[in-house]
Amino acid sequence: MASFVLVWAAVQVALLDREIRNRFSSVRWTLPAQVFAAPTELYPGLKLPLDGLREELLRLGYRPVAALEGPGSFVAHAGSLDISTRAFAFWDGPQSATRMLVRGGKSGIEAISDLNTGKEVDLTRLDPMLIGSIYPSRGGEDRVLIKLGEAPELMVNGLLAVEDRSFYSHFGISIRGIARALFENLTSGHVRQGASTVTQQLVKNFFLSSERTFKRKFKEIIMAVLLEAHYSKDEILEAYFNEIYMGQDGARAVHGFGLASSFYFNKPPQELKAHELAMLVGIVKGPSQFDPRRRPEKVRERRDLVLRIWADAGLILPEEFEAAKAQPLGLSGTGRGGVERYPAFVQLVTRQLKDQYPDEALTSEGLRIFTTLSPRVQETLERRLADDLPALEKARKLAAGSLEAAGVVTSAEGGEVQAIVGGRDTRFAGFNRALDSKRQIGSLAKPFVYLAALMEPGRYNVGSILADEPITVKMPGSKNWSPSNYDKRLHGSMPLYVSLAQSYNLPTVRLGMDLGVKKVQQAIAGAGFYQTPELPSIFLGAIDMAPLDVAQVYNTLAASGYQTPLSSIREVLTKEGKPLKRYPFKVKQTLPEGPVFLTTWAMRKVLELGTARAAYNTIPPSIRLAGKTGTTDDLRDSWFAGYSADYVAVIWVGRDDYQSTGLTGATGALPIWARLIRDLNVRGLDETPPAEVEEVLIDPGSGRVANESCEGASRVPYIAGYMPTAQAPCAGGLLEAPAQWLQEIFQ
Amino acid sequence: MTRLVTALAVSLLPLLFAACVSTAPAPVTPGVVLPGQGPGGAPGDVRPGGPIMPGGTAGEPVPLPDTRPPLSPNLPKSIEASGAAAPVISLVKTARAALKNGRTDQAGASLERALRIEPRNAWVWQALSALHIVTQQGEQAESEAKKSISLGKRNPYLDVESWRLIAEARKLRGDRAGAEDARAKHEELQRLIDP
Repeated sequence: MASFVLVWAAVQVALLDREIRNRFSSVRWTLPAQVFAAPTELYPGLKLPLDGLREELLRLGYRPVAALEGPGSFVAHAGSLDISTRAFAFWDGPQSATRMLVRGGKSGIEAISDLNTGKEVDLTRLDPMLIGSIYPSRGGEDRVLIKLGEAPELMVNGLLAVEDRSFYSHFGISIRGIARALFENLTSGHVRQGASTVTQQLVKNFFLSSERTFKRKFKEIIMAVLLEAHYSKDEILEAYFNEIYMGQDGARAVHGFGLASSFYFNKPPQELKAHELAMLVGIVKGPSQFDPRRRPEKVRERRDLVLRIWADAGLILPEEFEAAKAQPLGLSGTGRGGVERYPAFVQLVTRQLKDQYPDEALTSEGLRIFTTLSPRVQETLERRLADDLPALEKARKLAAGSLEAAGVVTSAEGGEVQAIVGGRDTRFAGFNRALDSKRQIGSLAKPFVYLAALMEPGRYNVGSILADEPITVKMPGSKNWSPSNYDKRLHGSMPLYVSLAQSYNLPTVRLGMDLGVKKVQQAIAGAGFYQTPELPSIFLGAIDMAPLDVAQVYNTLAASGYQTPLSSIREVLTKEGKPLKRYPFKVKQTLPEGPVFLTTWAMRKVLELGTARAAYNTIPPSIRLAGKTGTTDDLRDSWFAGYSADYVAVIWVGRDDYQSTGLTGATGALPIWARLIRDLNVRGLDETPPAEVEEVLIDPGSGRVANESCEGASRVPYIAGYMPTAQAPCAGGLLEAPAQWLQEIFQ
Repeated sequence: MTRLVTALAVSLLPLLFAACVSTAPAPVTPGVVLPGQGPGGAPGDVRPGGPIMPGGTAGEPVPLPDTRPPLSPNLPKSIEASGAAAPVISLVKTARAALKNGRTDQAGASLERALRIEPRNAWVWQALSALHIVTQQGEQAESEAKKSISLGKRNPYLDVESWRLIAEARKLRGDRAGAEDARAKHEELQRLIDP
């Protein structure tokens, strides 16, 4: 009998042993992928005002101080910043922490030098912001790995002083503690007292159940002893720092001191001060009971108690104790630390990764994912939507909160997504309109009709005369289609670019019919969108696209016909920092440069004299930009898409219930776009035409070739070999007929 | 020196131009009638497409006007002389060194970093093209070399190498005729630069 009990017990212990070992080894594996923003590159000549750099540093959790402390601090002077940067393992190698002096002003950065050596610095970069992590949807455990050797000494000793003073001498359990607990529990009649060692707490955390029974407690004790038998003290302590539950962020469970540090303070653990470390050690006792954001006073009391224990144990000096006690909790202002700030962007990254990595690799292998997000651009876009939508609703007497919006900003040449907003609640990780709300694009499609025309230089140029007259299109199998202009009027004949600038429907449909649906479909496909239906209604934008799709096709125009699939990821590293995969620039010429240049030229006229001319009330007129308004039937969707030399930006405004907004592209999306472009401090479009385009001086009076003696002549681009030759009267030519429209358009 | 460059400029113009025009489609007769006579639509005042001027002889290729600005006598022969920002030049140097050591990924990362600083730098696009010749990515290399030509503002010292890269890229893709075209353009430019 006795031997039977012994065998049974041995089997039980063996089972527990296997369970605890499996669980322990998995701690090292269940590391969610960490997602980083693009690092800010710093170099003399960068058009980032010094104030902007200061904001950037604050976003990264750098502390403004009077004299440089350690990494992650800076001193602001008039006209310069002293920065003590953090070390960071970049994809192409580590960059060590340095102290540098950055001089600059309103227009940008002028000089950078190393404060230690005094040497000038050509180029450096700040550590990238941690913007999120990809953790399993079930369980939702998120953590940022911290190694024991890298943890601040006070964190380690401070935790042990509070939670487990005999950690390095016991064998997993503390007999004295158990005896005391047993006594109290017996006298009170139920299980109340914990008195767990760090090892026991770790075991408890592994199986996260708050069940308090003697059986469970017994199991916990056995497992703690087994754990100590298999692993070293340091291994156990390191696991503890990474495993212990530290709070809740919606569905996401915050595990470990690494993530807690950024969740509560938006900086790495190495930069935490005594009062901050004390708070973290304090809340270990019960993160829901001691939730710093919901119960700051209670948490402060607990923190001060921890500080007192530290002072009594000699871990901090009495004056340090006093100073720390006087500090507020100092939680980061965003309420979400540095992570989970840009859910719409992280969704895009996750989607791109899910095609290539199994879920488990993403949520458990601690991959380090370097993305294209620019926090500065992202926050500029967010601020625009946050400020402008309520203002728009107020000005238009719409119900507050009735409008929704989405926006995308990409880099014109690289096709990198720099900012993305999926709705007006920018912190909400739900329905992402920028990716998933496919709506008709209205007149945003028109540039592609004109591009298709300009790809036939023998037939069309930017000055070709188009008629604004009614047209009825026979639709096989359905009733005839008779479009009309937005203003229901006819405007006579006009040059091609005026028709685009004013977004007239009739000349566009007539042009499209002349070219054929296929050619327009091909132009859109060349720009990177392949689901255009084969119907004449596409000329006026009966194409369902998400804002990101629009950004793609406009990006190809902005990049002169060189298509780059939009990307959100640059590099993926393993958790050890070894390069796993690069996502290099991909570029392919898919549209001819000359016609794209002419289309951009005509799209510049949209802003200079067409439907978007109000933009130049906001943006300095010296900045050349191209773009297009888009409005759909019943004013359901208000779009604007456009570009500078460096950015492509798309804004959509509408309602989720498909009701009319009462807004056109020009009254809804355009003002937001214009302020965004102003705030981004963009570079204007390059006017230099590509090799196959020639500019000809044209006399506005006759529309013919001018020379220096013609007053008010302006340069008009043509595909080389298809330029006009007849001389204007002012240049010695003969005039046969006056051309009234030309005078109008050149005004 | 100045005389040489001027001569070069004048002789180069038609050449560069011919290179670009040769691929343009043959012009068709202007005077296209838009579908004004659609069902129910009155024939009305249908205008021809085509040239901006009513009486022009558009649609026919014409020789290049001589009013084009002459090529600058200070055409840069390398990125170091091109006025590129210091960080861009140092990244290109880093990339060259990495490429020499066979570290193509590292070279690519440095060049892309340079392009994020100066996205329209023709020399960097060319360097990226050269890298993709090494990594045997012909299509990518050709597009990048073309992009370099397009951004390079007709600098023969830059374009001569881009045409060589295009020839290589086409060879990689198995486009022999295309490669020969590009090779011919490269050689013409080579003769002009270094007669």
